[in-house]
Amino acid sequence: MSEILAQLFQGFTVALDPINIFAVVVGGIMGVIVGGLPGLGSVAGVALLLPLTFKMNPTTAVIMLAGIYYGNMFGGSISAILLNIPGDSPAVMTAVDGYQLARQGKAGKALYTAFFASFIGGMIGAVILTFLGPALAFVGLRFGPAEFTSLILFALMSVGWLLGENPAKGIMATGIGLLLSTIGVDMIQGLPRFTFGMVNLTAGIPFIPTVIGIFGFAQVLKLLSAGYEIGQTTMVTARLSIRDSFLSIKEWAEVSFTIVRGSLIGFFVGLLPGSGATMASFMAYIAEMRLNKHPERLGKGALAGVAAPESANNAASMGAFAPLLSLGIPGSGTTALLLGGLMMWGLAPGPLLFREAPEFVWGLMASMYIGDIAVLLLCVLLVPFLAYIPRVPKAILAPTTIALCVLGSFSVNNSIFDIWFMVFMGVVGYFMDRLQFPTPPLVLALVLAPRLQTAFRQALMISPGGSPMIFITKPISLAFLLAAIVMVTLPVLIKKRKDSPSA
Amino acid sequence: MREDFISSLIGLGLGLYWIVMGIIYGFWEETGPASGFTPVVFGLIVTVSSVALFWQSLRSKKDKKQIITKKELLDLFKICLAVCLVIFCIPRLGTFTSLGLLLVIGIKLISSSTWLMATCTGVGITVILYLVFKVWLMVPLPQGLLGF
Repeated sequence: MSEILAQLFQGFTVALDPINIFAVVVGGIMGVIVGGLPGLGSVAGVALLLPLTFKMNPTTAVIMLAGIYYGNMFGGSISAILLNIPGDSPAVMTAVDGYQLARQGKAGKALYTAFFASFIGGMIGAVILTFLGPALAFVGLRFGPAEFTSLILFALMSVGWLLGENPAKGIMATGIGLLLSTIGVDMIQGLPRFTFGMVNLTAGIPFIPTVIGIFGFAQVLKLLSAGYEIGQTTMVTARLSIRDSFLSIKEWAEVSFTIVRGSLIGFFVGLLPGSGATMASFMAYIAEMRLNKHPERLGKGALAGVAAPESANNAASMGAFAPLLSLGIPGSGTTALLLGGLMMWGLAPGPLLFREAPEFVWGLMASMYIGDIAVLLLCVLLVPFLAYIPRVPKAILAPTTIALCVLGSFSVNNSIFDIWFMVFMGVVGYFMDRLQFPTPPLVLALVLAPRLQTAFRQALMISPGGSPMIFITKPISLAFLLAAIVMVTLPVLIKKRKDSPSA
Repeated sequence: MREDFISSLIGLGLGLYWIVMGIIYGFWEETGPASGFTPVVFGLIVTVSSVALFWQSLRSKKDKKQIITKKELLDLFKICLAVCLVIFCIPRLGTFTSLGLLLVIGIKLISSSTWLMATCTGVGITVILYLVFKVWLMVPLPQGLLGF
């Protein structure tokens, strides 16, 4: 422990170099802006700015790129809350409650909750990374296909909490998401499925345009079509007091456990190679629906519904660095890009990195603390300006939102097809909303199902004789399966016991 | 509700289609699940839930009030038509030219402002979007005839 603290202190002497402070602040600001723009996630931000760092010192370069990564997590919540367009996929669940809060005239409160939850999640993630990162990276490696299958089944079993008032509609919405996830080339056998002859669908349906359509474009359709009152009057006349935007002590008490819980879940999920911040934010939201004292409030404008995914996605961005630095295995798409950058600068991530380049590793870790504080300060200063966005008249907001949806959808793959698909999913999302089909289960299924399909089939392929016993003989897999069974049956048993005549 | 009845039929159609195609792709092989395994399973989920919704819609009291009115559908059609027109124009006129026209005409039609105000606001927003997406982020957006 004392050795780690000494090395961290040494790292701060590197991170507090004026050049490195400048790099992390610039990276953080860029990350917030890129994160706030629909369609441009951290992968795009890092990819766009990577060439600019070629001539920099490697430590400074990685510090700036890392700043973009976690700054992006802060920024993604801005458009999610204010426009119902998630800035990137980790902010999808933030939009569910965040936009409802904005409609209730609490945009400032939602933004402050998101930013402070992101900050605390990032700090918790950074602390765990500092003291336990290398050891936990080895735990993450023990997750094979069977373990991933059970983990995702465990998460999908919890979708019941998102089904809404009509379970049949909720399950149908989940099922539609599962169907959409089968579109594209089968990852195991290479067979195209449900592509209808369209080359653009061979890689599967484009996820970001789908989300932009369901949340953002559908919202514009509701705003402009007859017979649907969005309650903009509430937004316009609500008194925008900065003091009112801060959370009260009671509200802090309500979300504090949520933030800690979300951070721990986020860090752990981020640790798993290939999982990333998106899955982490979904898992944290699902856990919140299960464990919150007032789950009925989630989805209707609950601060916990913003705090959980935001703390998780920032903690996950820290967790993704653990396998990268310790084992040279990227934990997410963005860290895969960073891995490329590291190798370009002659640094070989892995167990030896800590020994051969300690100033780089500990300088990077120390910069995460500084960067997290810097980005929080920037975002807090922006809130008074951002909170006015919901007051923008519908005549300006609607066409601008359409323009952002178009630009965001195109920016992902530079494809016109993605814009068309966004419009299609927007119409689907509009009808789902009007006919009271919940959209979060569809998006959840879209996120989790592709991984589930691949992991399940891989597990059976590596199992002797294709036996499904692999899911039981692997201890981690068995633990998740048992947890899933308990999660489904325990509430039913408790309810039966309460309703029984003798009780 | 009539809308639930229609939705359940659509869901049923999709579920059955996925099941049939999943069987065609192949359900099981020697090494384990084939490409059609998950489509069949997921199709079954949708089919069963659609049948449940279908049953619910038959048993529910006849509700004369439509959730989605004809006027709403007409408005939806008009908005989608306008957006589709913009997307069609993007490769030909250019991204920002098309979006600029959308913004100016959209602001004018939705609000009661003058053409001058709508043009100034629309062009101003387009310039900001151009500076962010084209100049700063260098997203390779279609330029069209006018170079924007």
